[in-house]
Amino acid sequence: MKKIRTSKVLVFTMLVSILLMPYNVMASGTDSDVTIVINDDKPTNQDINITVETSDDSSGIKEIILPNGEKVVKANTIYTVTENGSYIFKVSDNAGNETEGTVVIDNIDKKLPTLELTSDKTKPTNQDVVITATASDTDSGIKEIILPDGSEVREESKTYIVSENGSYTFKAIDNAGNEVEKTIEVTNIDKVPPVITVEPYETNWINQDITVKVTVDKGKLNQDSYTFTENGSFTFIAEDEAGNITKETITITNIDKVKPTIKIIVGE
Amino acid sequence: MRFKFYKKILLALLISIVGICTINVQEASATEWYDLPEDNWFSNGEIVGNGLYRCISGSPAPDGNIHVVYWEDNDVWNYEHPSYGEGYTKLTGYVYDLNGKELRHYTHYVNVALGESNGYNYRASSYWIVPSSNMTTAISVGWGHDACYGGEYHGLRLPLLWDSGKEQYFCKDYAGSEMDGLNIWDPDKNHGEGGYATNWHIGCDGRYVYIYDSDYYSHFPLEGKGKKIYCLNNSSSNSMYTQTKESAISSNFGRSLLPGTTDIYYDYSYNLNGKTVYYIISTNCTLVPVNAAPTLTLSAPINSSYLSSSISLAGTVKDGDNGDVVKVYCSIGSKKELITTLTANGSNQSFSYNLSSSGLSDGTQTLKVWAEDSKGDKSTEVARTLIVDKTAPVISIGDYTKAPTNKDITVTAKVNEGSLNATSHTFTVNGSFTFTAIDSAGNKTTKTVTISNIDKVKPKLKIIVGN
Repeated sequence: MKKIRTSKVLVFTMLVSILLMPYNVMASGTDSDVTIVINDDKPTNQDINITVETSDDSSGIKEIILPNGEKVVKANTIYTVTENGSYIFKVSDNAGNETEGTVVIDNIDKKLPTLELTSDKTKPTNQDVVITATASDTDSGIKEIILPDGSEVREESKTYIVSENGSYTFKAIDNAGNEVEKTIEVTNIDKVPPVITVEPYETNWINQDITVKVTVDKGKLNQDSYTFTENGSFTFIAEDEAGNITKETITITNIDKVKPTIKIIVGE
Repeated sequence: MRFKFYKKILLALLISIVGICTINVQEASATEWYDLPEDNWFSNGEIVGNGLYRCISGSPAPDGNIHVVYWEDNDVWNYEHPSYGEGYTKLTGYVYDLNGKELRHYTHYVNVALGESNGYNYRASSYWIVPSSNMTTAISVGWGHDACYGGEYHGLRLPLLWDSGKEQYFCKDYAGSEMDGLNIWDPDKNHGEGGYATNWHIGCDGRYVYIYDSDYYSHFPLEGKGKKIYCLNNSSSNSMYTQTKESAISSNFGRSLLPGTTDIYYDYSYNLNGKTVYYIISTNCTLVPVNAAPTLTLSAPINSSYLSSSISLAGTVKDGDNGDVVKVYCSIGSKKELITTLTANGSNQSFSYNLSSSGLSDGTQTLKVWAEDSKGDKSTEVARTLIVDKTAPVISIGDYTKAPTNKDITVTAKVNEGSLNATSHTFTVNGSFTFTAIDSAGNKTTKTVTISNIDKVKPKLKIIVGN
């Protein structure tokens, strides 16, 4: 419990509060007859009850004038604040003396934080996708971000790497307890290489060219056929949008276009 | 009784009279003569029968007393008596205070000399009277001449009056002429009989009687009062009086009259219309020391002073007779209180007294303060008008807010008399203030106003955020 007794302390506290703390209950009284007690100045998304207690040793309390203008002919009352603002409480005694105290409530935050999810890749990729969750809260500020894996990160921005497609849900919570949840769908991860299918080609000795044809299930081929005019190898390369590459090397060795030689040795 | 005028007889008479003329103090009751007008001597000189002639002398003397003198002829003849009587004439003086109380009396027997001239009978006597107990009221009464002359009496027509300006007694003769001092005798002057106007004075300074001739000492008629003793004398301008002052002293024609018994004797004769007229003046007086009445001065209070609960009296009293017990009294309303009892020391002796107002009603009343000595003499009453006011002033407090307020509160006050220490008081904080009112008499009223409804302290506010 804090007690602020004097105006100097009050002013100092106000300054500190304003400069250093984004959220606070700022209280001010017109004189030393005002005592402000702040039991909880943490951000909250709840209403705040303000208890007003008055006393007058001489002529006695006449009434309390609440911030909404209502007059309460009692020495004590409770006033509920639903939103931030500057609240002036007045008390008058039977002799006409008045004391005024002001409490500035600015720790009520009933607004949800914002949460933005972005991924670093929008096109098909065979790489992991980095999701960046960015939360913000202009009132009480972000308390934490809860990642899809359940971990709590006390940061306003956090990247989250996913290696496979899926639905990823993030949650942002501000200091007042307001929560917002967002899900991002990741569908562009493709790590499956294309499949090159080689059509049957001549594998017997042949003194003919051999054309080898291939097909691929996705992506593009560097060539969908290759004609061997001689023995040799040729690599079909298939690459999909995600960058997956499949190579299929065909080696032909059964072309024999060389006539047989006849060596007639005459002699030896 | 007829009387032949022979010198021998006269001498014989003289011898006898000397012894008789001793002052004889007698008791007498207060008389009814107090209020008789002083300027109507003749008409008041009445024959009251049985040889009694009453004459009143009486303006208030400096001591405030009234002197009444009446002539009593104990021999009856001098009451419309055509024959030549002889014997004594008794003169009794009474002294009354202003309230009619007799203070003393004194009696003097006067010898009478009778003569005859031109078919008129006359007699002459001269005397003076020395009061027996109070020199300040010394009186000399004139000469009785020619008792039946014109049916008028001369001597006793001379009232004894006091001239405050000249500080001396004076007389008026029957014709109204005023003469300085005491005119012992001057019948002829006023009757054209060739007399002379010699003024014999008798005075008193409270201690001594002194007799002098103002013609002779006219340039200092009362000089030496209290210091010098003068003697009977005459101006020597007339053959009747030939003695000088000095010779008078030395020759027993006059002498100092000091306390004690003193003989004053003088006889003389003069030629009146060819006849020798003899006069005899003789007396034997017992002079007693004067009892000085106390004198009192009152320094406080002054006139028109207010009397609330009490008032301070202060003053001095003086009595020249050392050892006299002097009591100082005061009276106001129905109260008479003894202020103090002092033993006189001849000097001013201070006294003070706190006179309470108890028993007195509000209003104007007269305070009297006086002193009385143990010999019955009393000072002049010193009077002061006092305003008795025992009623305290009433303070009225004006309306003021009694409800709780955070403003100053001004309380006003009024008083029905006197003055307030403040007509208003502004409370800036709670507390008390006492309004004090004092009236002219010093009566004091206080009213304290206590304020407890000022609240300038702001209420406490505690704001608790959160549970």
